[in-house]
Amino acid sequence: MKKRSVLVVEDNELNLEMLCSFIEEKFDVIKAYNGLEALNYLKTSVNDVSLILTDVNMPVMNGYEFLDELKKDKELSLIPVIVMTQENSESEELLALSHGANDFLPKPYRPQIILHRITNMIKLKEVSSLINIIKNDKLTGLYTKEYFFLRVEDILKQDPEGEYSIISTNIENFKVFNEVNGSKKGDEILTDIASFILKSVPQHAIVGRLNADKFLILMKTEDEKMLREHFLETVDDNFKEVYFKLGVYQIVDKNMSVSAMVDRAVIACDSINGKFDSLVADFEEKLKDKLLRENSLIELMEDALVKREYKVFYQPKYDLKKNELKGSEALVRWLHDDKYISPSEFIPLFEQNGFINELDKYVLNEVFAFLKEQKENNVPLFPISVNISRVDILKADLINYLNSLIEKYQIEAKYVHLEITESAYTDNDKIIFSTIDELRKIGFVVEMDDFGSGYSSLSMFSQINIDYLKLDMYFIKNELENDDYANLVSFIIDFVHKKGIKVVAEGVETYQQVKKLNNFDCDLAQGYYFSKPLNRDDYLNLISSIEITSNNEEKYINGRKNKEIIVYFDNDPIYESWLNKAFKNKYDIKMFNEDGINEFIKTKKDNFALILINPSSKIYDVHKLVHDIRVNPKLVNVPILALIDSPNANFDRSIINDADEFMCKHHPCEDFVKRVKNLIKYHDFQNKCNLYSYEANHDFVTSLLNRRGLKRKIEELDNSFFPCYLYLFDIDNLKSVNDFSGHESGDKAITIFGNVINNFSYNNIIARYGGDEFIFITNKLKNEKEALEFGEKISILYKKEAEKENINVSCSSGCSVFTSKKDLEDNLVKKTDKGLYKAKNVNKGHCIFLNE
Amino acid sequence: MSNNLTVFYKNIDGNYTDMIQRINNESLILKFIKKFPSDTSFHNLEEALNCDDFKAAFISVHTLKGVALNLSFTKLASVCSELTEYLRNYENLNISRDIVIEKFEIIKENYQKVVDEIIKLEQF
Repeated sequence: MKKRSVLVVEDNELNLEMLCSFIEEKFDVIKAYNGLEALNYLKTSVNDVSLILTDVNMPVMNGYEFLDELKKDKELSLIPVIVMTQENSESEELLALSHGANDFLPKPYRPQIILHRITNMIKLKEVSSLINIIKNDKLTGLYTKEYFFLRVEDILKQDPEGEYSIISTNIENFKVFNEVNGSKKGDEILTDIASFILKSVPQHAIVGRLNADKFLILMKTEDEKMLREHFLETVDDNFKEVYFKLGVYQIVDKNMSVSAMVDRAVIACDSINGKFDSLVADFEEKLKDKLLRENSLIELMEDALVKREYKVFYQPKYDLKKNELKGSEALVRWLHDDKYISPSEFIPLFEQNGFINELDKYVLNEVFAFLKEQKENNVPLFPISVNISRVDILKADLINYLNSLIEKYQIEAKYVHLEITESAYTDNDKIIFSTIDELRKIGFVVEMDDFGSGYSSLSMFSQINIDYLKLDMYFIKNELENDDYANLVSFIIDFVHKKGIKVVAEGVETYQQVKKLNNFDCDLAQGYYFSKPLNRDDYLNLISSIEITSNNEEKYINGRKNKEIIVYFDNDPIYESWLNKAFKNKYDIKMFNEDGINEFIKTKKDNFALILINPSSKIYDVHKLVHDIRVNPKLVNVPILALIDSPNANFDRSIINDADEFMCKHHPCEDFVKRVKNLIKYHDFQNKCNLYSYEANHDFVTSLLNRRGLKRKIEELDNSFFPCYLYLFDIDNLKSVNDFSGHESGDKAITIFGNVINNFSYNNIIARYGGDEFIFITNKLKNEKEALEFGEKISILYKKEAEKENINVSCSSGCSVFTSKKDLEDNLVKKTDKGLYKAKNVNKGHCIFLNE
Repeated sequence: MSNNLTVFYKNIDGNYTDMIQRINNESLILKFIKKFPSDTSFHNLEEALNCDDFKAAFISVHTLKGVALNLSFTKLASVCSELTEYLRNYENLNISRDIVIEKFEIIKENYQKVVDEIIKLEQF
């Protein structure tokens, strides 16, 4: 028995010393010189004092006053007090008793009597307080917590050498079980478990009930292993509906309080909360650290809500086939003291203590508010998926809260997807199914999250109505690499597709995975391959730059004509979305796959600003593509920029010459934008130059070369062109047509001639030489005869065409031969004039050959 | 030793038998007796009476009585008791200072005797 302490209150030194000398042997003595000192000591150490021995006459506070003060305090009043009275002083004795003293001892001191009285008084007090403690728990019959603690103390004291362990048991899902099945069934389960434990433990062990669903066992360590095995084997058979956990603390330091020992057993038990495969855990020091960390998080969590430390990020989801953004998943991150705390740390914790409800509501609110903001700014609305904890899904107020958000923010339910983790379905199926049905009725889209992480049966799918199944790459990536046609992933996707459920792949990181998923018909995907989770602003930018359209053509026709399109041949959605962002409001970005390319090169549209190609692309032959683009008259003037994936990419280097510009994708944003702008600008300028040049050299009315153009054309000729035949055509009677029928008809007559002669433009030179004079140069004729024939042909044709338009005109022409460029340059005017003069005078409306 | 103690107690009119019965340890008894002169009760009593503070005097003489009793200094205890009872109602205006002083003198005499005998004891 631990040595008890006696507080002696006496102001006289001699008396005090005498008393102490009598009791020191059996008790620890604490001295106080008056009542006040005694009280001050008791305030701090009430648990230490087993009995108070006090004198009556003391300065500052005498014995009676001291007694009065003691009786005022609930705890202090329980300590037995013996008053040292004067011999033969009945009045003192009575007074002492009336002030609440338990007993009195008269002076002179009789040591043996004093000792006996003290010892007995202490024993009496301790025994009576034991009687006040309830020994057994009413429901289970096990020891109550207080009694269990006392018994542990006793046992450990009586057997100081023995090795003992404390075991804490827990029913993980008891709270939920109780809610779902009712407290009556809950009580039954507790009683059953208590009996089971009692039957399983050895004779010497004691079992108590710590609280609602936690039980405690004290037993010899050597037997504990046997118990552990027994539990592992039998507990699943006996208790199918609940998850049983054990935490074991092996007692090392017997001086530790029982309370601390039990705490450690409980920590060990809690550490395997949520782990399907663990039944038992032993206490380790590092568990304590984890607990400390968790406690600090718990202390911070509510404040964090008020301070808005929980940040919502958005990870985009893409349609795999069309490479289009389809929505995003909202992910919460905790930013505390400039550091991000991982959700894997705080989410399970919040689920355990119920705070997850608050957090989920916060995230939902943020998402709805964000959608509203987008709507107000005319940003296209993409659905956002929000994670709903399995703990929340059972609560009735979830549906009410969601309805209130719809009301408040005026956003339709279809823009919010609810992701519910797979394990939630298996735990409490009936409730879950009906809740989901209700949610879908309201208009929400429901996704089953983390499929593959828990234990579900396929038959569940016939009862449940969900819209999407989310496959986590973590669970399927190995299977995905299996090329066997019996691939599990493929099977799952087909199976759920038949049920009308779409599939989202989560955590997609490589192009290989994208390709495989595409082959298996996976509908959507999200992951670092496409985009990391973006903060609110970045995500907003992303969706602002995307034009919502199921058919880009239509949108184009409906009025975006001013935006030219940058065409992009590659398979890189990340880069594409970056392009969208970089050039938003200036250009549309259009990306083509193999089929699209074939269509594109035949296009008749001419509003393309730039074409981006990837020389390393495996989808198309880059050289052929460049060639096809250049032969399309609508595309020939569009600059081509070759974009390689990385500085080390493999490609045919000759493309560098074919393309107009060449860059690597790893570039700073501003760099690229400037380059592209300059490139386009340059090409625009080029095109303008060409246009002006064209306009300078061509006749506006007929589109034939004008004099300047003709001169240039002749300058470009080389001697291989010669000999050539040159005609000078003249429209007869144009003046009278103008006078009689007006200039409109006159102009028409000119245009008609232009059209007629232009039919023969191929590899020939045609120019409008004067008001109604035309020059035609060809080297395809062989002799004078042919030359004349051709001239006639034109005259006849022209007359006929003009008649169709009710214009009465004809043309005459003079033809001559030129043998060399010099000849042509020097004698063009002379010869042709001569020829024409002759024609008009000799054979109007026909052709004359000039021989020289 | 016991001779000395017996003599001592005889000289001061104390009750050695009572003492040895209660505390059956001679060296302990001697230890306590030797502490007696340093006890302040008598001096407090003297002080109090010098100031005519009957309340303080009552407390002091009461204490002195207790100490004397504990040591079985029966004669001293007895004369203290007389003054204690007289001063018990110290608020009573009937208390005569003279009587108080008278009783005190007796106490003083006895006290002095005890102290002297103790000094003698220490010489052995």
